[in-house]
Amino acid sequence: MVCSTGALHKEGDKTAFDVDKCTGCGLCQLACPFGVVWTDKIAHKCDLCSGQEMPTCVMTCPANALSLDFDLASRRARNRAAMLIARGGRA
Amino acid sequence: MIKVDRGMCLGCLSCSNVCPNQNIVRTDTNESRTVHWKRCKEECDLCVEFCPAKALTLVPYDELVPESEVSFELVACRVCGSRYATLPMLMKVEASLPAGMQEDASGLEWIRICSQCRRDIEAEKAAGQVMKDRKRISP
Repeated sequence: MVCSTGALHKEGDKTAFDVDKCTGCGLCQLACPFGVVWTDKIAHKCDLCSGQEMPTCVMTCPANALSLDFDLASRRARNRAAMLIARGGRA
Repeated sequence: MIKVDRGMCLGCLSCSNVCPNQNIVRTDTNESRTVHWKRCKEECDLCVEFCPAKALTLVPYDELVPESEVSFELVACRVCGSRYATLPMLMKVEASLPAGMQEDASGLEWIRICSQCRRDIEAEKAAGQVMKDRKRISP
């Protein structure tokens, strides 16, 4: 919403980045609550290894903790809570 | 040459980045940022086109007009104290985001915190949650 040139834009669920349109103004860095966009002449952010079938970090994570399934983390949390309740604990 | 509306300039990095002739010079120190527009003779208006605040206009060259300069004090991060942005930039971000998004669940005004600290806080939150769950599950 702060990108004035349309360099950062929505493509479905993910925020895509058109490097040719970026002026490096730095506003997107200030608008990211998680601090994962940064500016060094132009803006930089994770593009989920666009063009590859799977991001490299997902392929190499030895614990299989990373995935492209954005609901997985919340599903795991719910499962953990359910397991706990089944054992008589409190979530 | 370029005319600057000082009241509208955000002190961002746009114009100095897009100028093909280095006629717009940005100087950052630990405490402040200065943007200096040289009296350029180009008819190029890339900086005008890409100014997110529409603070720039192309005007005819006039050597009697002094070169423009705008200075901003950089705002300190509320967590680590490092100076990370100009106040007009932060206010522009605040004006673009709905009020409900400007505080997180704990009431933290994250816009006034630098990117590095935002990342650290996020990481600590996520790690804290996982560790709590692991303690609960393991006997």
